[in-house]
Amino acid sequence: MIETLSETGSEKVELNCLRFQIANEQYAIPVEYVTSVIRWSGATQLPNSANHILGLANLRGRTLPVSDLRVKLGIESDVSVEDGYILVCQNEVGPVGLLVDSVSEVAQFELSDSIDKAESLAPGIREIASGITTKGDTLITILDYTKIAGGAA
Amino acid sequence: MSAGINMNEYIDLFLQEADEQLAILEGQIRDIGTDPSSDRIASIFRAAHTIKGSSRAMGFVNLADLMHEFENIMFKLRDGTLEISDAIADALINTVDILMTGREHIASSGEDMPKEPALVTQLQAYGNGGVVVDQENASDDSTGFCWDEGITDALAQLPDLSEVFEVTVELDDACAMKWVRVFMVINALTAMGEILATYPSQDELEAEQFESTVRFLFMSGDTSSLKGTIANIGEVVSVECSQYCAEPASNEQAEEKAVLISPTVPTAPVAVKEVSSKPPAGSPQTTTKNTANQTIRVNVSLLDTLMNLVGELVIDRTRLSQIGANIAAKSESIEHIEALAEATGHIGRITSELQEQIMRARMLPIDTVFQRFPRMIRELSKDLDKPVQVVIEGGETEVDRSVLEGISDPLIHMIRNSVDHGLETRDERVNVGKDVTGIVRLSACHKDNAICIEIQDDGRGINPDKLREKAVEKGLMSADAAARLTDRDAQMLIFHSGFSTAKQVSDLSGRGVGMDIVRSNIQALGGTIEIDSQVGVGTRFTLKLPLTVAIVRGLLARVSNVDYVMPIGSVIETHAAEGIQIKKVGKKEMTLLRGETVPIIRMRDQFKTAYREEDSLADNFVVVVASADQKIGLLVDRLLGEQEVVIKSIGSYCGDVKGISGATILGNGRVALITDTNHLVEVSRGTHDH
Repeated sequence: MIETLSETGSEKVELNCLRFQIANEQYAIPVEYVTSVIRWSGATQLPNSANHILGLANLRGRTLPVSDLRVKLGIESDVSVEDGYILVCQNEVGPVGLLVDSVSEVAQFELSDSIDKAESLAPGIREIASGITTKGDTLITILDYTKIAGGAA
Repeated sequence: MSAGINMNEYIDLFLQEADEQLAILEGQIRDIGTDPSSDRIASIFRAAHTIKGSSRAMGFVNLADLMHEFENIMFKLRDGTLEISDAIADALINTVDILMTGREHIASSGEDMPKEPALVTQLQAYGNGGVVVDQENASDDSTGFCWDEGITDALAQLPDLSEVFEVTVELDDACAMKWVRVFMVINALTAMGEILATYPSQDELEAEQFESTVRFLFMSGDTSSLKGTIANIGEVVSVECSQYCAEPASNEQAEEKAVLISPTVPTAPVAVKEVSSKPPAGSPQTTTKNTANQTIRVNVSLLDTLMNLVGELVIDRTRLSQIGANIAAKSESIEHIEALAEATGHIGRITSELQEQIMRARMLPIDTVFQRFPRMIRELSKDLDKPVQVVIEGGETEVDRSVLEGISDPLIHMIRNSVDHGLETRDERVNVGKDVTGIVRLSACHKDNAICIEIQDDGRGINPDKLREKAVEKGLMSADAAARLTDRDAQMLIFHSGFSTAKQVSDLSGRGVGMDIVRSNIQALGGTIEIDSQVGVGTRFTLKLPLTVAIVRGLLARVSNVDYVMPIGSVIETHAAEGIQIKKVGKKEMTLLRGETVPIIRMRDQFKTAYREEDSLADNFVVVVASADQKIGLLVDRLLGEQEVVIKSIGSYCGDVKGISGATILGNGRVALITDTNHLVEVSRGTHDH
């Protein structure tokens, strides 16, 4: 896919991303939004809120809304909430914690705009993805943080 | 202005200060006609003087010119050389109005306000005793010579002016090389002390662009030999040396000087050489001559940060004492425990004190908001032809600025309403035998850890029947339901969205904002609003607002393993659930408390979460809370005590969580949710979510 793109002259963008897993699928999010990664340590449930909202956690004296990214993306996972990792993200909208199965690395990823060609992606994920890339044999979906949390791109 | 970039930086400062001074002008000017007390005149004069000074510094010539004439009149009023008349009072009030518009112009464009030649001429005329004079003559007559504002203001900051002198040197008219002579004078002066400023400026002197008189502001400990030394310089005709006087030159002084020096000298820019405490160039910083009140300007965001930091400290303090208690329970070393308890106790007291002081630093008298209402009411009264007397009480009541910012708009709207809809027309008042002049009373006071603001009019009152009619007409409720409403509940309907009983939306109280917005604004601040109205007698709105929006004292209750903080201001009482009989009336649950029917809300049904407490452990206590006089009982699982908490945001990510106004972190690290009593009351009424 990436080869096709370079042939047609499309620009390639290098993105520094944090790679993580949900149900054995590979995702990445630009590292500029991620301030830290923490383990789940409980959260106060917010009544009458959307089902992916796990609640408010105490992040060193600040309240952190935590969202189960797996529920938000509509992916079922065997990993329990207690065993998950929270990506603490921040943009002008405020801090948001995103719960994922596990976290692997920070690396440079080549972002292509071939998202439309990524047929394997579920429609729900395609909406919040900004691109797709490969590393060896693995396919990595790069997510657009602003589409998850809101705010200006 | 050459320093264009710098000016932008200063414009905020300028506006900030101008706003403060304009607020004083607005507050004081309205009564200038009826009560021209010397205090009032003096404070107007000071404010005008300050605005003039800073606008000059900013290069806003038009504004400065206008202020100059305004100040001139105030000066003469203070002096007693001019008597206040209705015409003058009107012109002064009008000028303040123009200034407000000018301020907006400056704020939006960053440029000087438009020239107001007609007004300037009018003011000049009054300043000269009602005779319209040619502008140039007028300014000459009224001002004489005075140093540039920048210098006088800088000098006013010096603690001691006894060593500052005004030296006037006159050269021979026939002097061939005037600059050389001046240069010699400057050298001689520099040897004896420090030259603060010259008039004309040094550039003009060098270019020999002056007649024959040169003035110096000179600082020196010893001026005994000054006259002799300077007089010895060739072609110097006369030397005058007098103590510098901080007060603006009075007419007499100006006349004196006119004799002393060439009377043709106009005021012009002056070169400032160096004054130790001179504010940065172009800065609108000015001096308050009243040194008794020592204040500094602090950025609000700094205070907010401090407040947040103290908030963290409050949390840690609570946490610390809890940890201390835990250790005490386990440890056997009494000595250490006592030392720890003492230290935590001390930290607790210090933290409370710190919190209180920082809160006080954020306080402003409510007058800062009240001040603009008389003018607004005066305008309304003119436009509507309704004579209104404004009574303001408790303007000195101090309010946290976060609250102050939030109540300004609701208050404006409510006052407009009172004058527009509350007060009857002239004829109606005469017909019902009331005084033609309506009264609008604004008052503020502290009441039990809250701020109480009342807006009262002696108008026609709110007719509950009309509101019932309107509610049915608008399809908000059935005629039956409307008839069942108590008078008070019917009156509360004015807070319902899309409810305006004014037959015609006037542009005065219209503006597309309704009383529902007023109420939601007040509620957003954690406040309540109540109506007390009697047909034919008048209406009183009572606002109750928290002292601050940053910290709240609350009752801690647990429901389905979630901790909730109920703001203590709204909590009336608590009961064990077993002692209370809950009856079902239709779909709703009620209980009778001392003869009063109180709707019951089961918190675990209202606030649904994934976890649900076992039935046997649930609904053990009833917390009775009230909003706008309406009581409701909340069924909770456990009561955990009372605590002061720092309000934190839930974050917009979660969306608008109904019934929850914020979150906080407790001493044990758990996140607790702060309930929104107003919402719960609305839920019990069934008036929510139509």
